[in-house]
Amino acid sequence: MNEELTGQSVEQLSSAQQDLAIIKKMMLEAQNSAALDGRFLILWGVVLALPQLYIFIRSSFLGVAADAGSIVVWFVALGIGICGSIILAYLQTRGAVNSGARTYASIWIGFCLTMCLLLILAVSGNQEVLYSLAIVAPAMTGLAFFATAAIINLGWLRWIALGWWLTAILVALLDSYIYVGLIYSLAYLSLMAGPGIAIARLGNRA
Amino acid sequence: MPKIALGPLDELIHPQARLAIMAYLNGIEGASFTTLRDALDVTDGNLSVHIRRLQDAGYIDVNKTFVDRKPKTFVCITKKGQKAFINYLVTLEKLLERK
Repeated sequence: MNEELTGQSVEQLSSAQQDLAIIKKMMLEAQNSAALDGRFLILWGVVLALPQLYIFIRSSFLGVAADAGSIVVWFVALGIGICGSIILAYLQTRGAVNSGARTYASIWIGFCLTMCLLLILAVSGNQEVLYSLAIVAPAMTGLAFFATAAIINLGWLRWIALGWWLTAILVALLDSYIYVGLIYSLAYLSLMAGPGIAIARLGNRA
Repeated sequence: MPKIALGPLDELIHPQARLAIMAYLNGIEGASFTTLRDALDVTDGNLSVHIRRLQDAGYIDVNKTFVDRKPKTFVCITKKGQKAFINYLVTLEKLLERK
């Protein structure tokens, strides 16, 4: 284009570059801030850890094998998790929401529904599904964390994903399934509720 | 070579703090006053002044609600504000294309 900028336009050009930098920075910050919500992770970390810890303590120290009572405990825990998620999703719509936040929520809702489905299949008596679930569950959790790390731009969450994949390997290497419940409950508390607390604190600061 | 003067940038959005507010709100459905204050790293008073200017121009909406019995101010961009912000971006693009 054979055009020449006037003096006023040269000033505008320099200002335009600064403006563009501000716009990019603020839009990125808004996207990350809107997606930061660790409450779902805290809720599900605790909800999934406590029944397993309860069943492990009952079977290891009291010698009570998994029974109908264990299934009731699981369904109560999952019910709390699902109701809590609905309340949190409602509260989330009152804060800053964007496509990043929705993708983040979608990943974890999809993850929880898949886990619930597999769990129902497992407790309905299909032993093969139960054994597979022991390895598939932490591997899937790792995948969910890996995707979350990319969406909310938190690199350290990839290490949490690695932790889950190592948990899957550890469970696969176990000779006995007695300690699976203990390993899982510790993993859900440290690798799910823990990062949830860290993300919630970041979200409060954002 | 013909000399050209580019169209003026919207003076209401042009100050850095107000541009930052518009950019922040453009990609989301809304944000609290404290979230905006921390993101922009400005004082409460400074942010209030900029918010009022944008609100008077009809670029943003301010809603005051109570969350857990505490007053909370939510700010969101209006359609007029989105249009003004997009126009601002288009002007910026034109400026940079002529570089």
